[in-house]
Amino acid sequence: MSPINRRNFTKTSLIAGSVLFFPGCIIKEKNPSFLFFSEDEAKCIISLCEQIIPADEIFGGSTDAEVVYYIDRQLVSFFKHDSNIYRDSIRKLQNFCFKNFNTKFNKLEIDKQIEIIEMMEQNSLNYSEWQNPSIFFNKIRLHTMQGFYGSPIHGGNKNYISFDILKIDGLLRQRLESPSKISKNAS
Amino acid sequence: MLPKNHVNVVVIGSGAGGGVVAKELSFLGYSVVLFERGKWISYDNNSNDELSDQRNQILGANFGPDFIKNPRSFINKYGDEEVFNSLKGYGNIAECVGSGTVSYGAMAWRFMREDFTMKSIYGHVKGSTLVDWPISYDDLEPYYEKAEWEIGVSGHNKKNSFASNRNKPYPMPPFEINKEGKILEKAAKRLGWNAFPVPMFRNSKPYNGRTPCMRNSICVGNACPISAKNGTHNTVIPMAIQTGNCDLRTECIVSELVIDDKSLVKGVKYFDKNKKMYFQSSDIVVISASANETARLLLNSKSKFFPNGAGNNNDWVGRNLQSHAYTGAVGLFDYDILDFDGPGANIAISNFSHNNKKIIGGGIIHNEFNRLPYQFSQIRPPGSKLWGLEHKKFQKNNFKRLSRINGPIQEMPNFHSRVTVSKKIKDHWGIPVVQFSGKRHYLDHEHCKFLSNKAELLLKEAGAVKTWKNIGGKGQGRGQHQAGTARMGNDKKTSVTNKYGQIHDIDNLFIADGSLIPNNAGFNPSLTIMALGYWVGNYVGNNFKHLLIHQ
Repeated sequence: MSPINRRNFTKTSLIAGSVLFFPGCIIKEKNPSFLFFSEDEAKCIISLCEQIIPADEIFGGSTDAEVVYYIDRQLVSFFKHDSNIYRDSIRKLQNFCFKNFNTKFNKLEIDKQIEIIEMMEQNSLNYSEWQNPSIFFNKIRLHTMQGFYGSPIHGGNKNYISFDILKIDGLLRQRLESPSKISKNAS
Repeated sequence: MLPKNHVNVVVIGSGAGGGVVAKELSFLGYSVVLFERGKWISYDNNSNDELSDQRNQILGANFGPDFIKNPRSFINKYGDEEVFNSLKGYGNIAECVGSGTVSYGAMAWRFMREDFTMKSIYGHVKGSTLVDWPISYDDLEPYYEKAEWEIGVSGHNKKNSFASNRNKPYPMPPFEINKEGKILEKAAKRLGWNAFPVPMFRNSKPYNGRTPCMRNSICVGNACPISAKNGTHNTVIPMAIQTGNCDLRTECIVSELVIDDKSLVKGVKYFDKNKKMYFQSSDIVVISASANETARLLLNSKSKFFPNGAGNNNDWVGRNLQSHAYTGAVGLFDYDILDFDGPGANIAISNFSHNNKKIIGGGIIHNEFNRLPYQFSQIRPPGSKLWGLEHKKFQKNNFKRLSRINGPIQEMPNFHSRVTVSKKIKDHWGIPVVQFSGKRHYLDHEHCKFLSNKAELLLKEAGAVKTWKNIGGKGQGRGQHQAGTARMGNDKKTSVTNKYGQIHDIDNLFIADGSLIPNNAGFNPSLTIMALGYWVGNYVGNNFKHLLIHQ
């Protein structure tokens, strides 16, 4: 599978959304998908995260790891203080894309998305309503890394995908997986 | 406010200092109440999650504190007070029984003879309050020994040629050097440097009725699943409780020292976990709440003769706040240099602790404990892509190929780096919180450059295909390794306690923690804090009757 195919594949699967990935949540929660993001906001975040850690020929990226759930959960708890900047930035990013490309960020071609993220990183969007997009970008960059490389107990790193990528095995693997096991036993 | 039955001694804080003091005095038959604002830690509920371990603290800290209930503030660059919206105000500091000794990396360094006489060796340093300690290495040596044997340290007796003399060997042999350490050891030898195993508060063999270390490499920032890492929580605190003389009160926060019109402390006010306030009276109070919280408690305890806080009539409480600026270098190898064989930090070099040209003091360097997947994602050569396919590829290819050498620089204490108490912000219990202000001495960053250069040289010699430096020493030193805020000294005007940790002019009030340390050396300070615990505890125990007659 070529990288692009792989990406297109994950892109399609994410549209099916959380209902397919988290059937358990339907029973537990009134809103089955997100605690903070709207469905539209989530699609934008999923695309951003996927470009920050993309799928490659062998391993999935942020979408497969379900990083969006990590961020969503933290925005109503530990990262509450970041919730405004997320909401604001998503709106500004979508406005920017509508203005320039007449579509949403998440509907753009991958290469275009990457180009826009690079401009966000360098504060070179040239969009008067959004002077410092790098502040938001650096946040989501770190949060994506946390969701992808951290423990699945917080959402993200589904099926320990990043531990496989890093070829972590033996005692270190056991230790790194132990929080999830403890969490499962407790519930 | 409800009174509690009078006891001989109140000890505030159950970390490296307080745990030791409680044990020493309860063994002598004195009744002790040991206050701890945190809880006992259960391994199963707290370990191995990188995002909430004590090193990263991104999603809270497994070993405490809760920063919502326990906020801290700082004076920002505009001169305004700002509250930390994360655990950044704590910098890895813990809050539990044993405190930092549960989750620490557990290096068990003795300071060097030279560290006690810095002013005599290096002279006056402009802008710094660098001094000689009021006690010498020889004064503290027997207490270092006691800490090594009672808490449990493994180490090599001879290989560190820069170590000051010891009268008794380490109780346990050193750990075998891991793969990375062996490569670095050979490189150090080629450079003419002396590499040796890091002394560790870890069992390298069965000790004190507990099992040896299983060489898990992620125990820094986490608890040990088999209790082979030694802190006060699994040694002196259980010993104290077993005497029947020590009452450990967890989830209890002391808000104020009650000082009478005769300049004596009568006891403490504290809140229990139900936020109910009590008065605990005692003959003697020993504060071991850590450099930040000890200063806060003194400043929050105002009385007739101490209107600016206990022991603060000369405005030295909270001053000279230090920690350790970490500095070093990273090397990328073209093979897997890491085998993740714990305890990770494995070899050290002490050639640069003293006797450096144009440098005041210095520091050790050692290989780093670990870098777990998230932390590793933030380590890249300068100019690298920080996201995207290239970043992911680096992550995939180099997780086991990166060696990091770093160490703590000896910070130059300065009067303006300080802890005060906030006039506006109060914690969950209504107690004014720690407020930080000031910054490190400008020389700290210069000294860091020096030590980083040495670290990079070692990595290059070891065959790294690419190296880069991380140079520390800016900002304020206030997190882990905190020290200096109630320094001991012979002159009342420039110190807070005498050489026994006894607060000037309050004869029954003592300190036994890192606050006492005048200059914090270039070593992790926990063994020194424990030794000070034995030093102060021993003095209080031997002079108890005299201290009472005085009252």
